[in-house]
Parts: sequence; structure tokens; C-alpha cells
Amino acid sequence: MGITLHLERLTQFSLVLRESRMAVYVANMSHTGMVRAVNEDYYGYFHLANYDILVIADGMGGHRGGKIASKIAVDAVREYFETHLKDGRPIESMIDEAFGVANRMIRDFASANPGLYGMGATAICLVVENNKAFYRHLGDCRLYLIRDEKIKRLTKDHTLVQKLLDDGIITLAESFFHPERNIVSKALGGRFYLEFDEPIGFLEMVNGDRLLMCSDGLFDSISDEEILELAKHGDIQNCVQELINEANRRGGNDNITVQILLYAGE
Amino acid sequence: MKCPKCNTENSADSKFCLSCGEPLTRKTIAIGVMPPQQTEEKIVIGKNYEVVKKLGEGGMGVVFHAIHNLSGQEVAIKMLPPELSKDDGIRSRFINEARLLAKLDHPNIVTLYNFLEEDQKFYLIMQFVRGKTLEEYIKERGKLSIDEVVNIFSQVCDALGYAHQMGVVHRDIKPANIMITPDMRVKVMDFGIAKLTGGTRLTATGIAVGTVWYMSPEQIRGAELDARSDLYSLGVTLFEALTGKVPFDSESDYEVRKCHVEVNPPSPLIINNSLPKAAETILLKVLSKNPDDRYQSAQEFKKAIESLRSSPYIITPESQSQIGAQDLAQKSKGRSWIKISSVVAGIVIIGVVIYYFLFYQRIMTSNVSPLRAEQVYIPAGEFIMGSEKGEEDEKPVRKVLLSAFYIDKYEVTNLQYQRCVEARVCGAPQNFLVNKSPSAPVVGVSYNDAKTYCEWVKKRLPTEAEWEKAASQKGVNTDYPWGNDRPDCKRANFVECDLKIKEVGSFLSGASGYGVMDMAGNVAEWVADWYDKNAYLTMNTTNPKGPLTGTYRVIRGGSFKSSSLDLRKSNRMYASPSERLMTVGFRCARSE
Repeated sequence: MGITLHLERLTQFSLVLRESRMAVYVANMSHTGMVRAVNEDYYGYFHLANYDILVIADGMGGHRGGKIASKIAVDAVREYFETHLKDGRPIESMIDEAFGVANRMIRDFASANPGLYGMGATAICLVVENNKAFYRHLGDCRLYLIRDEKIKRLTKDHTLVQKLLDDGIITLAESFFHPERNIVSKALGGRFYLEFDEPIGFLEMVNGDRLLMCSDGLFDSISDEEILELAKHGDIQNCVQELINEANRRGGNDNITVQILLYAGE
Repeated sequence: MKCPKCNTENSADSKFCLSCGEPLTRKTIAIGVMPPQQTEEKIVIGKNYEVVKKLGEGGMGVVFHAIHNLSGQEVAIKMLPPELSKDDGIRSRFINEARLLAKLDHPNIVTLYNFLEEDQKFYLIMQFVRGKTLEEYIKERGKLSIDEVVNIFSQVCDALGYAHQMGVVHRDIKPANIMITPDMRVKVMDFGIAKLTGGTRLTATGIAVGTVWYMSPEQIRGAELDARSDLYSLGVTLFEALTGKVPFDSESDYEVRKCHVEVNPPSPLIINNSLPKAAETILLKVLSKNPDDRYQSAQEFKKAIESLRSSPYIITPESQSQIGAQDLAQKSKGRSWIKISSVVAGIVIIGVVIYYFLFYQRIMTSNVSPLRAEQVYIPAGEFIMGSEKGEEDEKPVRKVLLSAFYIDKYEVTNLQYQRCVEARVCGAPQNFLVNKSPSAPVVGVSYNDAKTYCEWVKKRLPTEAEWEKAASQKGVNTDYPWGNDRPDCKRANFVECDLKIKEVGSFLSGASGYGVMDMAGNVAEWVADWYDKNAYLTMNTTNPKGPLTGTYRVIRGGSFKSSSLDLRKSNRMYASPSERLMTVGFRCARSE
């Protein structure tokens, strides 16, 4: 089994070594940004059995709701995996089921507290087992792959603007300044039950791959190419710090959360 | 202090709850004997405006009715969402816009008297108007008469024409923003508020329901807006006033947006063919996708609307059937005899033929008969309902005794449902881009549609208990209809398959112990019961029928977009009975 190092809650850094000599490194950080009063993002990194599980949730829905929703989301996913990993079901099913439970918990919490009506959270969950990575996102939390000095976006935002773009109703240039670019079309807690529009994401990792997951506070102000420049080399904890600093230098209009997983292979 | 409505902790000097905008009143210490109403401190905004009550709230803030404590003037005060005042950019834009709006002075526009900033919040002090919104008006009446429409809409055009000349685009024209006073004068509200707040909806996904119905194509694209965008939105409003329906409606806001950009609106005559032909011409013109093809000014649109008054009505047998007794009563109520006389001739003829036509229609209806559906017999007896492994709402697990019943072997198909639509009994399903094959299960039908269909075929929706029993293995409480093995794409259609709806009966190895098909996945199913998460705690264990009332109806079985967890036979989902969902269909049952 591996060893896991945990630093303080805000800035975690974890190193996991396996018997097979494979190594997974994870760095993460969340920042309120320069404008918002509260951080409605929440994240988690858990190492359970042979799995590394990374989650980010970005809460929505007013003053308290968003913060609560994102915490419920991350806690529910964690709890689901802790309880059900032993059942031996395929990881891809478990991710969807964990999100299904999180969805229900947020919804139930909101219906028990009328002031929290409309609360929800966009989210992304990544589960890594050996060189296999499974991921599922809802809303506009993203996952990027950095490989061979190139960056590739693995998730497609569930947003109004992305749909308009896909359907050819607006151009890419128009999408950047669309007045409704903050509308998400899918989120935890948003519906009575959770439905998924695409199959779960899967990736076979190779040595040196970096998987970067983040909330929209990062990419709203930093382009994909700039993310690549800041994240492709060096100590991943520094990269995370640098990305957040850069987003804040550009106004820090939203909460920013980043996790990077470095797959060091054999 | 704690908000009495949502329990949010607010700072001691807050006048309104930060979360929900509820006024926070503080009790003062009563000295001696005082009437109770005087012990409460009044909420005062901007030193002089005493709040009377909260009128409503929406994405754009909370509205209060208040009275100026010196002049006695009644005002409406809109408090903008507090998030807005924190951003300097938004703040300066707000002030610029509000200055512009304060210049608008027109009898058909709700006047903005003043705006002020207090406790880091923005307030708009506006004219207080007694009356109803056009939205409430349409809701009460179904649809409006030509005379009412001409009267109301020509006044709205006057307001828009004036504002457009002043360089202000409304951006959010909809029935809810058009006030009608008891003496039928029109006051348009919330000019430019959408721009003031940056058009951003601050709530979470799916909350801003309804507003997309009135958006112009260029607004959906995020382009610059001019007067003609308002005319489009007013055109949608006119469509709704004349027919009782908006031109584009769907469960998904996105579908509505797409329709505004890409799909030609339906002819209003299809929905209400008592309308004059000119109404169709006017609506199709104002609802043109390209602003250049619309009326170019509010004045021009007004002229066209006014021409409706003199347009001849088309009298067809179908239109006669649509003018019900209620419509006639409404038309004559409060109208002058001169106006009535223009339709009197038509009414007399209608009166003569209406019974004939209804009778005729009944003959027509009886000609379209239901298609047979194969049913499975579920014998009387006990079964175990609920699951220990499931969610809280599936507990406690109970032994439930059911009388014998029949249940459809498959979900109701597109073909079967279509017959009911042709018979003019069922409403058309919501048009989703899904499997339209005749043997695919129908989706986009509400609970109410499903109930109507089952009654048409002389059956009923299964109860939740019946559904679960039919989905079980005989006598054994398993997770899924086929047993305990987890789902795969041979047994059921769920999110791990190809995300398309399959024809009914495509999963033979997914049958339940009774041989009922497609109970897990593909499309979920409405059942008869109201949803209550505590229903099992108190339910009858013999032929339970669920709670007597509720807000949502139960949905069972999971869909092609569900995770394997939601496919469990005891899993309970729910939705509002009027919702038409892309993933939900139904099957019928009947007692022995």
C-alpha cells in the first residue's frame, strides 16, 4: 500500500507510491478570488484502496446555498466510494452512482430548507486506477490532459453557450462575450433525478501525463494555451499556485480551484 | 438576526435577509400598554420610504410596496440583488443606465422616480400601479378578445415607440412586465432593468423559467439589441394573448431558444382559428427571424394591430367549436353593444351549429379506436416492497398485499399514443429529438397526458406498488427486474449503453419474473401515486394507493440516461405532473 501525505486543508499535496512502483502525485488548491466574499468551490482528494479519487464542486445559488451544495457534493462522493468500493462494481458505474447520490442529497437538503431553493453545484470527478483514468463532469468544471507539451480539453462544458456554439447558432468569438455565458445546463441538485448526456470519460495514461481539473474561475480568465504554459513543467504544487495567482492577477472575478494529478508511471 | 423565512443569519442592522430578501423587523421594547402593531419597528428605505409589504421577487431582485412618510406617496421599490453592488463595473453601468431610465416620462410607462444606494444595496423607487399584469390577465381568461388585444397592445406600442425614440430598449418585454389598471390603462414596467443588471441571471440552472419564451433571435445570439428586438418579444406576447399559447414551448429552455433562432412559428390560426387571417399575417411578420423583415418601429406595429379591429372573422366549423360559451360570455361582458354587434351574427350561427358540431366530433372521435396492447396477468398475493440497500425513501421495507391486476407488457408506443392524439383525446407529446419509430416508447408526455391515455383505453396508470410488483422476481426481493446481477446493455438500456431510446421489447433477458418487459431503463415511467419520501412509513399494506395529495408524481424505472443505481426496481424518482420529460413515458394497468 502507499503512503499519503496531507498538508493543510487549503493546500494539499499528496504523494502515493505503489508496490508496482507506479507513482501518482496530486497537488491542489482553492482560492476565493478577488471579488467574491465566499468561496463556493469545494474539492476533495481521496486515496482509497487502489484508487485516487479527485473531485471539484462549484456551488451555485446565492449566499449560503452554493457553499453548502459544493460541500455536500464532495462529501457525498467520498462517502459513496468509501462505502461501496468493496462491492467491486466497475468504476465507471460507481462515479455515476456517486453523483446520483450527491444530486439527491443536495436536492433533499434544499427541499428541507426553503431558503436554499435552487442551490446546486457543477462538478467533476476523476478516478485513477493504475494507468486508467475515468472521469465525469456536470456543468462547467473541466478536465484537461497535458501530454507531450500539448493541452487537450477532455470535457465539453454543459453550458448554454457551448450548445449554441455546437449548433452553429453563434461563433467561437461570439461565445466569449455572450451575455449569458454563465448559464449552465447541467448540475448536481438541478433536477429531481440525475441524467447523463454522454458516456463516462476514459483515458489510458502514459508516463508524464498531467491531468488538470478546475472550476470555471480558472479558465474564464486564462486561455487553454496559457494554462498549458503554466502547468506543463515543474513541480505541480508550484504550477497550481501559479495558475491561481495568474487568475487573481487578472481580476479573480470568481472562486478558483485547481487540482493537478501527475502520473509518473513505472 | 435570523430570517423568519429561511433562517439565514443576517447582521444585526440588516433590514432585509441577504438570502431571500424577506424584510427583517425588530421588536422595540414596549413601554406601557401599546397596540401590538405599534411595537414593530417600521422598515424604512432611504430615510423616508416605509415598507408596507413585499410584492414579489424574481431574478432581478425583490419588490416592495412602500409609502413616503411625509408626502404619503405610494411607491414600488425594487431592491436589486446585493451581488451587483460589489462589482465596480456593474455599479457604474447601473448608474449610467438608471440616469437614462429616469428621463422616461410617458403615461404608459411605470415612472422611475429615483434610485438610491444604501447599505451597499441599490434601490429603484418607482411609481406604484394598482392592477393586474397581462400575465395574470391571460391566465384568468385563457385568451383575449380582439378588442382587448387592440386596446392593450396599441398602448404598449405607444410606450415602446416613445422609449425607443429616447434610445432605451426594454430588453425584457413579456406579459409579466405589462400592467393593466382597472380602467384598462397599460403601464409597461422594468424598462431597461435587464441591461441595468447586465442581463445576468444570478440563480442556478433552470431557475429562470419562462423568460426564454419571449426572447428575440438576436438576443439569444448575444448580439446588440435595438427596438426591433422589443417588437419581436411583443409579437410573442401578442401571439400568447390571442391564442393562449406561446409560439414555442418545450420542457427544455434550450429547445425554445433554438426554435426562436431556427424554426418558423406555427400559424396562430392552428391554435385559435376563430382569429382573423390578418392576425396571422401580422404575427408571422413581427416574428421574422431577421429584424429587417419585421415591423421597423413600434408605430408601424401599432397600425397593423389596430387594423385587426376591422378585419373580418373567418367562420369555420372548427372555429365554432372553439368559441365556447365561456368565451362568448367574456366577449359580451362589459363591452359596448356596437362592438358586440359585429360578432352577433357569427354567434347566432355558432349557437345553431355548436351542438351539431360537438355531436359530429363525437362520431369522428369514436372512429379512431385504441390499438390493443398486450397485457400480463399479475396474480393476487404478497410481495416485498422497498429496499434496505436503497435510499431513505425506499424504507421501511414492507410486505404488501395486492389484488390481482393486469399490466401492459410494454410501455405505450409512439404508434399507440398517436391514435389517442388523432382521436383528439390526448395532447401531442413534447417534440424531442428522440426515437420516433412507431414501436419506440412515447416520451415527452406529462403525468396528466399518461392518465388521459390510460383512461381512453379504459385502463388506468399502475400504482407504485403494482408497478414494483410487476417489476419483481416472483416472491424474491431482488435489486433489478431480472435478479441481482448489475445491469448490462443486453438487459437494459442505461447510461453505459449508447444513449439512444430503443424500441420496446428490445431487451428480452431484462424481463421481470412475471415476464413484464423494459421495467428498468430505456424510458422511465409515470405511475399513479403522489410522491412523498415518507410514504412507506404510513402506507396501507393492502392495495396501497399512495398519499392523498402532493406536489410531484412518482416516476419509476430509470431511463437511457440513468446510472445503474436508478434502474433498481425499488428506486423512486418524481417530477411535477405537468412536466413533459424527454426520458419519461408510461404503461397502463387495469384491475381484474
